Amino acid sequence: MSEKYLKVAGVLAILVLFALPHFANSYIVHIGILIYSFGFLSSAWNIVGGFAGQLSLGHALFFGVGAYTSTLMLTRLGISPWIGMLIGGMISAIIALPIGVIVFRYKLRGVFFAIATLCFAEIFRILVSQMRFTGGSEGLLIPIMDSSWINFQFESKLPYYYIAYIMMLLMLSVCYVVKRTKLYYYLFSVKGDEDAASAIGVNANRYKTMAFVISAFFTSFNGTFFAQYYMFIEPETTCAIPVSIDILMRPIIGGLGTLFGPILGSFIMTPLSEIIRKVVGSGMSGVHLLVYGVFLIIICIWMPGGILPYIARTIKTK
Amino acid sequence: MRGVALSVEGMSKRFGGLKAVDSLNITVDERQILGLIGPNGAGKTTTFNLITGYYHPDEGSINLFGKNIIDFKPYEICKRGMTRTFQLARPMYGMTIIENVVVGALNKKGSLKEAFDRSEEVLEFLGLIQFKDVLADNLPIGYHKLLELAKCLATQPKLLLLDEVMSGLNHSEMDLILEKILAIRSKGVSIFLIEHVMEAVTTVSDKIVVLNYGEKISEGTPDQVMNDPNVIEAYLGDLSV
Repeated sequence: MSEKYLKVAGVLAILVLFALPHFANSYIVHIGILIYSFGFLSSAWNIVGGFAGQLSLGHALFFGVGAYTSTLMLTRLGISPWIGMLIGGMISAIIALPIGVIVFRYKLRGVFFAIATLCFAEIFRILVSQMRFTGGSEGLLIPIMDSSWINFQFESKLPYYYIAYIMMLLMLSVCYVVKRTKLYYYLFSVKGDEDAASAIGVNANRYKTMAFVISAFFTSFNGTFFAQYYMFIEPETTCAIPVSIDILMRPIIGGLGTLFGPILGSFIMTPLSEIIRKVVGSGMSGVHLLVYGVFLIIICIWMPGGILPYIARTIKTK
Repeated sequence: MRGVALSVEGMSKRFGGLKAVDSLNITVDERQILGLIGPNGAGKTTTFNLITGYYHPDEGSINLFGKNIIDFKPYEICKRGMTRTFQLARPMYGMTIIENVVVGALNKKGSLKEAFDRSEEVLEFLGLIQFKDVLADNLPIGYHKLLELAKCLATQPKLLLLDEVMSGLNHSEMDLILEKILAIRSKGVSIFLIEHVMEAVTTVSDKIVVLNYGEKISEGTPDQVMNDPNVIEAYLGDLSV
């Protein structure tokens, strides 16, 4: 019975959010776009961070690769960002593969994996901010073109809203599909106990690497979206540590390893950080990180595992 | 004549200055139940860790169904038909009981659906079916060893390594496991087990190997081994004083 209600609520939510921009002002639409973007990124991160339990602190790397690949291809070669998006995803996957192979081969688990991924992301950020080819630390501007789908540029926020929305729903479907494959069971067992999993025939390194590559591939897509939405990219906003933190905070708060946890986390944290930014102003950048910290402590103490599993537990015990 | 499932020759492992396992020779025949016993710290679990690829031996060779597996990783060894349990049960938390077992069942080719079907059979066989959808976190502690066994059985091993599956169990639980071990063997699986509970190991084993300080001090049928003065001395100390 309750499952039926949930399904109805889900369909209603999808429809309401679809119709929302026609009733809301452009600020709300902007926040919606951010919620979906982060929902997408968090869900992609959740494949390796949640399903496989490998907390990557370096997803800014793939986000940055996505943003820079499509932007460079557009500005230098005049190729549509849609194609750039796909190529960026492939490049991210190609970068993630050797990182995964090496890092897992040398048995970097837990915090060591986190630090290693963080280092790779930092290497990328430093490279990008030093090379003239990528615009250095000043970043790259995307030239204004005709508002069209091919150019991935629009005068109104509406198309961005729907692109972000559909991207999030597609990412959710990807996660849904992954949850129904053997890969998911392998990942979950590795997360539970890697040695025990390998005793019963699970090639832990292979599946962890697969999860890492899949996650990187999709994360990159949103980098392209970000570039096209803001029309400006620089190392600090695309491949610095706070970007990685922004991505992983949402699944941890919403529910690590769950299907809807990352989305829920985004619906809570994204408006919150936007409101804080508005209240505090640009004078004190980084205050939203402080709030993340406080939120994380609260969640860890009262709702270990995240908000969604907490709700599920409370309903079950009632 | 029976074929040989596992043959270990001259296997040694040193941890710093300590010889944990010293040029050990062990043979497990097909469809045999071999017991490995010895006082605490004799090197029994180390032997298992060496055979299953968790440690790498300093010397010696390990052949599984005629194939040298010395450089194989644990998952590859499992794919070749040898699966182990852990002394301390290691359920994969966050997953239900059947999902735990499914991971093992996926060791053999086939769809996820087939893996679930096979897992149900295993759970039925071990009497765990009523816990199918219980989270591993909530499984009563008395069933942890059975879950460990279920995960391993689901991989459809030809040789099963059991590390103290009967420790901490009461009499009726122990009888149940003994009965299951014999049933597993009758399906054609060889079994190599470490056990502290003497009563259990002597009733179920065809042959027993006794380790002390990493060395094999006795080998034979349960009767032979139990009457061997070396074994008595290892367990009880020198009685002639």
